[in-house]
Amino acid sequence: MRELTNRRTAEKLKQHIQKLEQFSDDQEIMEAYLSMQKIKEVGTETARGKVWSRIGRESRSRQVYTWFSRAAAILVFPLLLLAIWSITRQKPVSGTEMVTQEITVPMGIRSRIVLPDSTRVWLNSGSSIRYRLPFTNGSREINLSGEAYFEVTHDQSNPFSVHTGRSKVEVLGTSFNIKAYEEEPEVEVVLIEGKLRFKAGMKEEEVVLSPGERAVFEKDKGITVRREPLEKYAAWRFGKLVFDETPMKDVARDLERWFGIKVILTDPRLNEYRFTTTFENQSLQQVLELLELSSPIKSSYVPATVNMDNQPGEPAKVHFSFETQKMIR
Amino acid sequence: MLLTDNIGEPELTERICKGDRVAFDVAFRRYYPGLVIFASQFTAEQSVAEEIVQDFFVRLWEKRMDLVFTDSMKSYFFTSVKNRCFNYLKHRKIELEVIERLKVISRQSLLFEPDVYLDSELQEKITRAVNALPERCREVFIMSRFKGMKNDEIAEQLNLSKRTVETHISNAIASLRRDLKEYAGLVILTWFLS
Repeated sequence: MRELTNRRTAEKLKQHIQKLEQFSDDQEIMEAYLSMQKIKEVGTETARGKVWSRIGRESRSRQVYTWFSRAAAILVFPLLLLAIWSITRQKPVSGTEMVTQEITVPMGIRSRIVLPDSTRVWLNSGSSIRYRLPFTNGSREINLSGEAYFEVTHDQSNPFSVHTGRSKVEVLGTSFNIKAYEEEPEVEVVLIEGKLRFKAGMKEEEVVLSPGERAVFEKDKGITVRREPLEKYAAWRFGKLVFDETPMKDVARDLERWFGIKVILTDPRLNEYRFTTTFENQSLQQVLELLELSSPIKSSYVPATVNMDNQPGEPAKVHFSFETQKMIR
Repeated sequence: MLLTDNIGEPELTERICKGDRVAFDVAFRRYYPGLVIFASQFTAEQSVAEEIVQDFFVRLWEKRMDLVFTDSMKSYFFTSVKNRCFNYLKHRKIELEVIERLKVISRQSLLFEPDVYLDSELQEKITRAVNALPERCREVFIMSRFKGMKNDEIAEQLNLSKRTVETHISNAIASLRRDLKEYAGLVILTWFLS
């Protein structure tokens, strides 16, 4: 078998070399031109994902834990305990007596929790979910404020639904991301797998989503559904912060949540500026450095304050200003 | 265009050494696609080329701490990938004589010049030479030489006479010769000198 593939490789290579040897100058130029076109078709982003996942696997087996993942583990642990507690809590409660469980993730932190029905939930910064115990009770109802990614355990007899102030998502078993921060005007649902029903607004507008679709609800426009690559909308749960032609205003808001800081845009010209990059488990300092390096933005960092009685005061602040001399091509 | 495109090479190298993932991503996006097509000139198979280049980048990150580029990042990347390709071919038990032929052609052909695979002056020159061809002429030339279509097939598909197709092809050859012959010669010369 091995020999056969080797022979095939050899055959292909010989033909290829022969072709190269016979090329005249003009054919070489033309072939070079065609190669240049092929470059554009190479799947760079997929390959980048593969390379990082290989790096992750291979370095983990060598026990190289970064400070970052250690910190994350410490923060996730209490929440895990909370989830375990909620499961053990479930038994003694009788059908008439309801207990509400609430899990909140502060700014600057993301966490993963497991619900009593083994549904997995990733909660983004500044988000919270609330549900009643016993959780599985003819239906599975969750209240969400903020952003979360759900991998719902299939259970036909107990439909799963997520309520936000303005909308409701009903599913059986699926994976989806929902973003419903109260301070933002829209609610966004992105369906990765399965099927779901999205209801929103006063008029109870309703759409059914298929995988690969993204629905956005806005108060005055209603629900719009679009099919597009969805990877970037749910990448936050892998510690990735993705900007794709994102206006500076939104970049600032995402950084605020991600790092638990306050961002102040001191120059109105910044509002028009758009930014494209992906940060993966980067520190705030690294992110700011890269922003400065790649755009006419200057940032200054004001550390968080602590009050007299050792209570947290103001969060850390970052001021963004516009540097006119530093123009970008 | 990404905003990160204008980070300089020495800066990028230094950041990668320090474990900066964004810098690694910047280098990856800048070099990966070109390296793949470059490598496929050695391997004759793009899927193999992709694996070789991915291996190279994984290894690059693993030993980033002791990276010392004596040369530029560009020549380090392209030389490493080239060596990996030859290692692969040896591993696949390709006869030495064939590998020798590949080595010879890789020193002579424009298709093994790294600048073909990067944003460069050379790329601009090639594009200009090809764009200087009248559109029909270019189309016919590509169909004939690279899609391997016969002249009468081309004539039928484009609704031209066979005679016109032949004229287009010979015109294309003449025009490319004129525009780039001196440059192609130059590339070969620099290869011998370096």
